Formats: sequence, structure tokens, C-alpha cells
Amino acid sequence: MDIRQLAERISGKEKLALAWLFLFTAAAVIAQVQVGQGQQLLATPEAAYLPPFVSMDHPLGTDQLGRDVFLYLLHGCRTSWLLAIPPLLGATAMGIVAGTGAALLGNTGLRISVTRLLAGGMALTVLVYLLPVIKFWWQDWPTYLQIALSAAGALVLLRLLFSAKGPENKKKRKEIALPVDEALQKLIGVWASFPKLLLLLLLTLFTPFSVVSLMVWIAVTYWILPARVARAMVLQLRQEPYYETAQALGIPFWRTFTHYLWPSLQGTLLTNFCFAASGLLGIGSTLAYLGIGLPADVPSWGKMLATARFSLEAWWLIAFPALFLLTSIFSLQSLGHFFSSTSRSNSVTK
Amino acid sequence: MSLPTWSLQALKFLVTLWLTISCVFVVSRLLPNANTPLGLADADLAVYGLSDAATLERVKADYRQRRGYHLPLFYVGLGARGSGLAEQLESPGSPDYPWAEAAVLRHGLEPTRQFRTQWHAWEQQASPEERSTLRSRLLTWAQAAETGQAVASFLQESATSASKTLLASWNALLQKRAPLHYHLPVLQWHGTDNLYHTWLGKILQGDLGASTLDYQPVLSKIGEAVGLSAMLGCLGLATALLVSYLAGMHLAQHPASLFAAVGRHFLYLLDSIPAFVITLGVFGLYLLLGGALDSPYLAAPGESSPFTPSLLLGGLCVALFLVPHLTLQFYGTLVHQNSQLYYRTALAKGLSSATVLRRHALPNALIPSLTLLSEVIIGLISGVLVVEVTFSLPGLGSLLVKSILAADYPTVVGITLLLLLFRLGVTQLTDLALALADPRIKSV
Repeated sequence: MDIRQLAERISGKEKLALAWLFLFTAAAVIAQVQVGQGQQLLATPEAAYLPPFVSMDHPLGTDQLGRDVFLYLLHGCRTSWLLAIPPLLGATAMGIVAGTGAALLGNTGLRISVTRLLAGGMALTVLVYLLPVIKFWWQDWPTYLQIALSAAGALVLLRLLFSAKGPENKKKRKEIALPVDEALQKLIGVWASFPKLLLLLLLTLFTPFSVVSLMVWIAVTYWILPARVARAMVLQLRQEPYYETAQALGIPFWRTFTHYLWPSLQGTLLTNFCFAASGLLGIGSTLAYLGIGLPADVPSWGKMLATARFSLEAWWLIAFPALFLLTSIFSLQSLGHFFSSTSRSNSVTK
Repeated sequence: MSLPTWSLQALKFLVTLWLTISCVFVVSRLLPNANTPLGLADADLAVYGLSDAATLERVKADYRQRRGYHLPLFYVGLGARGSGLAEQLESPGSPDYPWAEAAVLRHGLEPTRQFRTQWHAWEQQASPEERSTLRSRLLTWAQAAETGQAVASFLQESATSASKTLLASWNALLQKRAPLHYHLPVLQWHGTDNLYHTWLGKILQGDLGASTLDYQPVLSKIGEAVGLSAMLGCLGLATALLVSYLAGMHLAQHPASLFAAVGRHFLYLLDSIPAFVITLGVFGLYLLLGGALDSPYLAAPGESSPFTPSLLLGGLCVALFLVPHLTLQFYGTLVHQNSQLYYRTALAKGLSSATVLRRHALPNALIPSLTLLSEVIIGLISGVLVVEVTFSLPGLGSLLVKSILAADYPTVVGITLLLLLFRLGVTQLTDLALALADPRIKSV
């Protein structure tokens, strides 16, 4: 997909959406700078519940603690951005790796000789058996040495299992295939057995509430859809003649991926990214609304909405955060629709 | 279906059930602070004004004993060889066992035996305060792999001869290093007296344990909450099904009308609004328009009706979450039938388009809708949860949120189990219904 080509097709609606998302990101950056400088939202209880548009100091009014609503929403932008974009990037990367791997290796692509599997299994068992002894043995050594030694050990073990040429290369070897694809399908089946919101609620129990841990949990929850999409696309693409040509020419895997697979994958993944991000804005706010996952001192649109339901007369405490949230969601959705229509018209597989 | 197929299905179901319950057990044991009473992980904690490791360990051990968490986790387990040797010195129940075990594992059996002899000699002449202080320092040392400086400095301060010999033997102990083979794991058989066995047995008897929050049985807590959630879900689902059916049929019959176009756009819009914003909107509009949540005006005065305004509004919200998705998908499958040959044949025979839609397209569109319906029913709980929290209804969702916030693990585990079983049941029923509705599916 060419940038110039995209720019020609873009219409007024998508321009507005892009402008809003740009402002949203800018607000998040500004709030991040302010947080980095140690600035916090000031509570001035004597100025609580100031309506909007009456004071120059507080253009959007103040909340129940007298905090400036505009500043609060700005900081809420930062939280929403952090809870949507970085986890989704991580989830998409995980999904691409898992989906592409499963589609290319299939259930027969990863083969391993029986002797080697047995040897590796034995080595692993012995290692696990000796682990407490090793831990006691090197407890006085510096940490970096321990880490370096474990990494070297893991490398040797992997090399033993998966090196291309074995000693018994000439003989006919007995091999078994590792069902990578089936394993991924099973894992996805288990992972998708719960609604995402519920899964996130349960996962937050395992760590103390913080933005970073919530980001990790969101990434862990959301890798399924990109994995499914990447798997389905690659399964289709590997049937294409040009991919077979690339295989026959012996082009290395990385180049095959970047030049033969990625151009067809990116449109669909971008569409998926936009829709998932719009969903994540909702999920992040819902978690904040329920009071789960975020620490008490992190501002969020969902929290403002949660407290506003006890004082409906202060309509601006509902209207403005809801407006911010819905505008961001609709912007991402309209971009998603735009990308899906362009990628469909550009796709080689249709 | 024949008897063998049936029994195979039943067996598969039971195995899945067992696997699910066992997975929940494993995961629940991985929860942080699963073995400590509520609040013991707080940073600024002091029990009876004390905050040393030994006191905290005593409180934890007491808690584990009361809850039955002191039992081994599984039928078999791995233990270090050194721990078995330490049991020759001290019985595992005694208060001195933890430090004796740590000493054997770190510094060997023989020096520990000598130190323990000196310790008993010292214990004879020391005052009770001294004894408990030194023991608590030893326990701290055993827990937190320290250098043992705290024990040595305590012994240096007292000047009795017994203290001096004890100090000498302590230093001798610290000099030695345990042989490596003390750390080799040994397979141990624990028998049926283990945590997994008792937990599974209790679950089969319907005992999910007691809440750590108010010590009520979890099952009765869930029992009180589940009715309301089920009512909310059924109310919302029934409304949503009716509306989606009518709306989908209407959209499919008049695809070009202005109303249909506006309706589709509205549904797309509604589909992307987060559930809690919809709920908040309904809640706010109702209150601003003068409604009141505390007047069960549907009931005659004097008797209480379950259909409070909160419940009805909640049902409306749940329906609003479901209608867009259900309608759009139903409409999509209906439209998909338009291109099928049988559809064209029916039109060519001279049937009206409404009849073709109802008699020919609808039965075929219902089969994919059945799968969709099972997904929607499984996902219903997250919508119900948001509604319950907003309207302060005492249902399963608000119970789950409350338990998560209070780290009330037994309740969370109980609700999770219930939801997993519910999901298992729904998928099994869907498979069965699909097999009955569509003879082409023979695999079930």
C-alpha cells in the first residue's frame, strides 16, 4: 500500500478521524511530559462542581474534588493511549509470529528425529533433577554469571534438539512431526473460552494493580485475533504461485516474509488493529469504571464516569469524558472501515 | 445416535469437566498470597504490634492449618533429600523445624546436630524472653537467607558461658557447607491426604469453601446472587431475540428503504459504543426524566415484586448490548441466502419474496444463528456485570467485582468454576441442537 495512493482516496470523514487521533496522541504526550515532571492534578475542594464555560481557569468545569476537568481528561488520554496502543502492538507482533509460524509449519513442518527427541527429553529431565543442586552450588556467584550460564545451557539444549545436520545423517532416520498448528488452535480454543472482559478481570488478580501490569495482561488477552488473521492469510498465500516460486528460488525466510507475505498481510492487520484499538479504548475505560486494574491515583475517563453516576446534576462530568471516549472510538472505527475497503481492493487474493 | 457414541460423548464430557476443574485448582494455587490471610501482604503490617518475620510466619502457619492449606499439594511431590534428614533431628510440626531444616540444607547434618545439642543446653538456662527472641531470629534467618549476623550479635550481648559455647557452635555451623547431594530431589508419596484430593472431594459434595471476606459459604453467596443475574440475562436475551428477529426480517424484506439504511447505520453505531456508556446513558436518562429506582410500582402495595425498575432497566440495557450484533449477523446470513440456488428456484416458482424469505431462507439462516446465539449467551455475563455494577444490583457480576477488589479468592474461584461449567453446558447443548437441526452435521 502506497502512502500517496492512500492520501488520494481519503475523504473528509477519515481526515477528521485522523486529526482527532493526532490530537489524542498529542494530548497523551503532553500528559506524559507533565507526569514526567512530577505534576499532579490539584484538588481544590472549595471549587468543586464548577459548571463549564463560566471560568477561564476551568474551561470545562471542575469535578467533585475541584480538579480541572480538562486537565483530568488530558491525563485520561494518556491512560487510554497507554492501555490501547502499546499492548495492541505487542499483541499484534505475538499474533503475527504465532499465526505465521503455525500456518507455515503446519502439523508436519517441524520434524524432529526420535533419537534426538529422546536425548533432549533425557537431558531436560536430568537438568530439572539437578536444578536445586545447581542453584545451591552457584548461589554465591554474581547474577550476570548465572544468567549467562543458563542462557548458554538453553542454547546448547536447543542446538541439540533442532540443529540441521545430525551425526546419523546418512542413515534413514525415524522422525516424528510436532503438530504446531494443532497446538496453536488448542491454545486459542482455551484462551477464547472466556469473554475478554472477564478474562482481564481474572488476570488482574495475579499482579498488583498498575498501568504496566494491565498493559501486559491486555497484550496477553488480545493476541488471539491477530494470530487467527495472520494464520488464515498465510494459509491462503502459501498456495499462491509467487510464494511457491520464492520457495523454489531458495530465498531466505526473512526476505520471503518481508517481500512476499508482509505486503498482503499488512492491510488486514492494520484494519484489525484499528477495530481492536477502538474496542480496547472501551475495555480500558470499562475496567476503570469497575475500579479494577488501575491504581487509585491514575486518572481515567472511565473513573470520571463511574463517580459521575452519583451526581447526575453535574452533567459535564458525564458528557465530556463520554464525548472524548466515543469520538476516539468512532474515529478508529471509521479508519478501520477505510483500511478494510482499500486493502480489499488492493489485495492479491481478494 | 447409538449407545456407544452416546457413552463416548459422555466420557469426553466428563474428561473435559475434570480437566477444567483441575486447571482451576492449579491456577488458583498460583494466585499471589493464596496461602496468607487477607491483608498480610500489606506493606505497613504489624500483628499485635509485632512485625518480625517469625510472628508473621506463625500467623500464616496458623491460617494454613485452619484452612487446610498445610497439606501437600498433590498425591506425589518432590522434596529435597536434606529435608528428610532434618526430620531425624526435629519433627516437622515443632516450632524449631523450619530453622533446623534450613540449617541442614545450607550447612549439613552434623554441624546442625551439634548446634541443636548446644541449643537445648542453652534453652535450659535462658529466660523465656531470650528463648523466644533467639528463636524468632533463627526463624528469620531460615526464611530470608541472611548471613546469620542477627543471631550472632544477640548471643554476643549475653555473657553466660552457655551463650559463648552456643555462639562458637553457631559460627562453626556457618563455616561448613552442606554436601551438594542434600539438594537432590526425592519423590515423595503423600497419599490421599493432600490438598487436591480434599478440594476435589469437597467440590463433588458441593462445598466450595468459605469466603475470606465474611466467612460465609461460597455456595450460599453464589446461590443468593445467581438468581438475579439469570433473570437479568434472560430478560435481556429474550427481548434482544425478539427485537433482532423482527428487525432482521424487516431489514431483509426492505433492504433499500430509507428506514432500513438509517437503522443499519444506527445499529453499527450502537455496536461500537462500550456497554458501560450505554448503561450509564439509560441510567442517567431515566433519572433525569423523573424516574425513581426505589419504587417497585409494578407490585401492589404491601407485596414485593422481583421486577423492580432497576431490573427492568438493566434488562433493557442488556438487550441494547445484544441487539446490534444479533440483528446484523442475522441479517447478514439472511442476505447470504439470496444468492443460493434454492432461493432463486423458489422465486421462479412464483412465490412472493416474503414467503420465500420466511419458508426457505429463514430455516437455513437459523443454523449459523444457533452458533452465534451460544457465543452471545456465553458472553452475556460481561454485559450483566456492567449493568449490575451500575444499578447496584446484588447479582453474580457485582459479587465477582467485589470479590476481586477484596482479594476474596474462594468466591472468585467458585464463580469462575460456575461460569466455566455454564460455558461447557452451553457448548454441549449447542452441539446437540446443531446435530438435531442440521442432519448434515454427522460428526456429533
